[in-house]
Amino acid sequence: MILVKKLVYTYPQRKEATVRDISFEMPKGEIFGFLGPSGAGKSTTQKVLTGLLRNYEGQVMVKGKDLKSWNSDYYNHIGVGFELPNHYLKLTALENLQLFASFYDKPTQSLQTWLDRVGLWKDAQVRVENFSKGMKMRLNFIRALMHDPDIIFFDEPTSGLDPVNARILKDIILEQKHLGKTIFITTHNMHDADELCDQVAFIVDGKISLIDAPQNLRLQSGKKLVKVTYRDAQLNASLNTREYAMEGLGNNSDFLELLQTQDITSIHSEEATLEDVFIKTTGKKLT
Amino acid sequence: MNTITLKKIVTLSKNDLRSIFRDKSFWAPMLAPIAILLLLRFGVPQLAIYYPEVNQYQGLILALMSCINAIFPAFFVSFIMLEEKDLQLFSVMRVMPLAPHWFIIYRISFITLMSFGFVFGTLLLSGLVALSLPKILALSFLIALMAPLTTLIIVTFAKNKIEGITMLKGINMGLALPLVAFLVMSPWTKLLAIIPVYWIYQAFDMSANFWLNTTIGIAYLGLLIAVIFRRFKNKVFR
Ligand SMILES: Nc1ncnc2c1ncn2[C@@H]1O[C@H](COP(=O)(O)OP(=O)(O)OP(=O)(O)O)[C@@H](O)[C@H]1O
Ligand SMILES: [Mg+2]
Repeated sequence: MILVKKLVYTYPQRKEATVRDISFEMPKGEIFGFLGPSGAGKSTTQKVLTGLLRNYEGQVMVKGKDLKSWNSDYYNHIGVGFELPNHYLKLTALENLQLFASFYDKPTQSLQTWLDRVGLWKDAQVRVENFSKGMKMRLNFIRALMHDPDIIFFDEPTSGLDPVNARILKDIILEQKHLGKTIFITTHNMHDADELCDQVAFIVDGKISLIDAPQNLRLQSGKKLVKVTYRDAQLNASLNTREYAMEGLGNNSDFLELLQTQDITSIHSEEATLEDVFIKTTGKKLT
Repeated sequence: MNTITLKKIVTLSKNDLRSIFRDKSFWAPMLAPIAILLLLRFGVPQLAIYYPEVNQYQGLILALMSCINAIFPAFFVSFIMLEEKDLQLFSVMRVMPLAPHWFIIYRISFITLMSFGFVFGTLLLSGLVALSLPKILALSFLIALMAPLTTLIIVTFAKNKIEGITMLKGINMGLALPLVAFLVMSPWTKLLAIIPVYWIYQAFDMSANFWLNTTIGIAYLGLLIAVIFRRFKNKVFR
């Protein structure tokens, strides 16, 4: 659906490139995530792909056509979710959406249904100047998909949202994927990347260091250990922990004895998180 | 123009007017053009009773006040556009399926039209200078061009509303400057011709060639608008 080859982007006033020679491919119907720390070049890449930044080097193909040869019709096919809320403050939520909806060739999906789904229908007639950051972000989110585009770009869609609303948005993103949409997401939240993405690219300093499915990444770096915490009756009930290899755990007599004789407080498997893998691969932290 | 384009224009204008009318800080300035009109219609003749020399400057007074009235729409719209710049709403416009620059051209037309209405009303109802309808229309267009020029200057060069207000004040004061050319006898005053309003005053000079001056004025303002439009498009609308 989207093919990026040797993309380099340098901001006009800057000497050094911000996006440095990245290549990747986004298959149709998948969610592709850009995971990386602040300043890595995630938003910059999204702006190139959405046509906001021109004069890039390298090649970007969208739906089999070079990005440079698409005209404004491109925007009937893609939806863009911005990193920061941008709406007309004096207009209501509904007026804002209706304004942008009027620009599309086809009628958009029902705005009431969308506002309702993200919990904004009761505030549809409220001016956006009276909205909280989270409410504005949800409005941004609807604007990106109300015209039923084939490809959707979300720049940190859940940032600044409470867990309940973040959940709603993530469910919608997954639902859009099942409808066959191709989705690009940037995030520095490893849980989101893990949960949503079919593939994640680790990006640091404008370079992609690795692209893979989140499960593969976690499995490859997992430690396969079980950590048991218990109260030691002999030692004044102080908390102790022990680690056991996951392999052959059922026959591990030491482990079994511990379970039978001690007051267990917790048992955890020591899987690698995406962040562990990220740090191991890039040498950088996510936040 | 097809119906879809028309629909977009109607929706945009409707929302632009909403943004203007819902901003309480615009309510007082919105009444000012009417106050100016009343002043022209009833104040100036009163003044002329006591100071008959006022009569010979009626054209210049009307020109200056029409320019001031032309700039009110620029004030409203440039504030809306400074907010659009600040909130990166131009980026949103750029990811809409609109032909390139469609939005800016719409906006410039919107301001010009609004300003045209303000100036037309002023010239028609002031009762000061007797002008034929074709001349009123031509002058209204010429003076209305001050609005897109002012708006583009402010939106391109002001970083925020405070700077915008300062620029607006500067422009408003600059409006009176070329009057010097008509009050002082010196060949040097011809240099004031580089200030665009000069040509508006020139067009009100009934002893001069009206159509020539109006045409020069429209061409000169048009050129300045084109130059700043380019800069706006490359530096701001991106
Ligand atoms: N308009 C601009 N002009 C010049 N440099 C810019 C511009 N926008 C961003 N940059 C620089 O490009 C680099 C990457 O920025 P970008 O916004 O793409 O990062 P990001 O990965 O999206 O970070 P975050 O997680 O904070 O959103 C940063 O060093 C930033 O300072
Ligand atoms: Mg970003």
